[in-house]
Amino acid sequence: MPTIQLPEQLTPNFQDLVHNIKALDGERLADAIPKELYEPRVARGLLGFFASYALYIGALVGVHYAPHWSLYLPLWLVAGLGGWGLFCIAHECGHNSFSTNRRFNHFLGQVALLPLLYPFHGWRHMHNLHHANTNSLEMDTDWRPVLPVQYRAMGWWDKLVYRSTRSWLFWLGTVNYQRHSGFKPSMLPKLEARNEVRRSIVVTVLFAAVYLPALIYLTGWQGFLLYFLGPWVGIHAWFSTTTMMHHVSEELPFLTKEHWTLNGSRLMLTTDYNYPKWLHFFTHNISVHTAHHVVPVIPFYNLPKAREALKRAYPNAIREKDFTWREVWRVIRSCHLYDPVHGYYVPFDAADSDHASKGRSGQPGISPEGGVPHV
Amino acid sequence: MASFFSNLFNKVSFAEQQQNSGPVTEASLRQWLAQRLAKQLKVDVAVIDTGRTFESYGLDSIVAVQVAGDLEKVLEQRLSPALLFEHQNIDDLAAYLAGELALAETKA
Repeated sequence: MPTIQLPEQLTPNFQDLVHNIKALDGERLADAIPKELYEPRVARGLLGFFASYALYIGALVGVHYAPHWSLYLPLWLVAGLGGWGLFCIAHECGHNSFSTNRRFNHFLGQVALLPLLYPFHGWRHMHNLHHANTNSLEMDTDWRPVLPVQYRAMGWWDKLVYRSTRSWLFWLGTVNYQRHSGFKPSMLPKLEARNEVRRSIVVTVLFAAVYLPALIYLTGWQGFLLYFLGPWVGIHAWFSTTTMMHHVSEELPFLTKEHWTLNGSRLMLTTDYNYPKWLHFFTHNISVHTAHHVVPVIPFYNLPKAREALKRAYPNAIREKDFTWREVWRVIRSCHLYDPVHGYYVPFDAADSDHASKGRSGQPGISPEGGVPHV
Repeated sequence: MASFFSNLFNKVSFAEQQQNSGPVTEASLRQWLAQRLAKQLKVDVAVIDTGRTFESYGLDSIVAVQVAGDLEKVLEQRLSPALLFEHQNIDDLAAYLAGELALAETKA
């Protein structure tokens, strides 16, 4: 019998959510999506790949010819968008929705992740764990909050990383995720997965060992900053902001296993964000996110149609919002720690208050690594 | 030629070798947990009582999370890091995991 009961109080909102989630038990969500939407069109995928690489390289050329340093930051953000688009293509490849050729998908995925120096298989396997455990308080790998008692027990560095990347440094939240998922094979339970990660690390390190010295030789340390580090941070800014908004919301709790269900996590625990059309093009519909969680193998260009089909089958189930900075502000202002009393979030201030510390001292339960923000 | 490069790649990346340890059963899990606990406490495995609570052995949360992490690799599947808090002793935990494994096999 589990000894941990969270949250301690079941509010009407929480009960409604759990009731709606449990109502999906036994449903075959994927059946709502027409089968023709599963078919990849490689040419359309390649258009996305080349468009993103062109944006990335074009922005670097722009940095080179920029008449004034004040243009660097916006150009790094453009390069970041290019690199983030490439990440989204690698994401397709990781789910094998880019083409039916698995080897080609893995090759292209690694090429798409080179601007980030991100080992493809590390990301892929960690991301699969996220899909299998979305918003599980014990098991999710991405943006999982910790309890106040766990936060207080962290070392100073983990605490600093957790606190900053859930507030003012949210735009760097995925840097630590890259470190864990890309370079720590021991995070993964399957031996073959760990070995694939090791091979991806070798490929990434070999590329970096050629690319970075060549870049520094040709452009100097300033070139390293202008053409690699600035864009790299820019990619993480897009990566962090997008994924945080998909998976952190004051209205969507992380659930313990007695409340969590796979169907519920797929259909009701992520948020879709509407962007301007051009931004959907360059981010390859990554923010049409619920349909992607329901059937990860659907190619990105079919996700809007898949979402419409899901909306017809399950009216009001998908959470869809317009992206605004106000929404981002709400998340970084208050969605800091798991609230053991009500099951949603409490801000950091609560970590020191009686209210938050009432809960589980002596039953930390969730790993210190959970304190580090993930995708 | 392909296997030469494959072997080279495995060597360069320090690939792990598969340990052939037979099928995972409730008994083998109980034994593994007892050995892991004995190693942690630096005692002989014979003195481990599989019915005694983890708490009474003085396991702290960091060790509990480490054990859950090691167990993931034995079972080759993701497990809750809170496992040793959710189950009181080795017998309970081994029975629970064996049940989960049987369930997973039925689904597969």
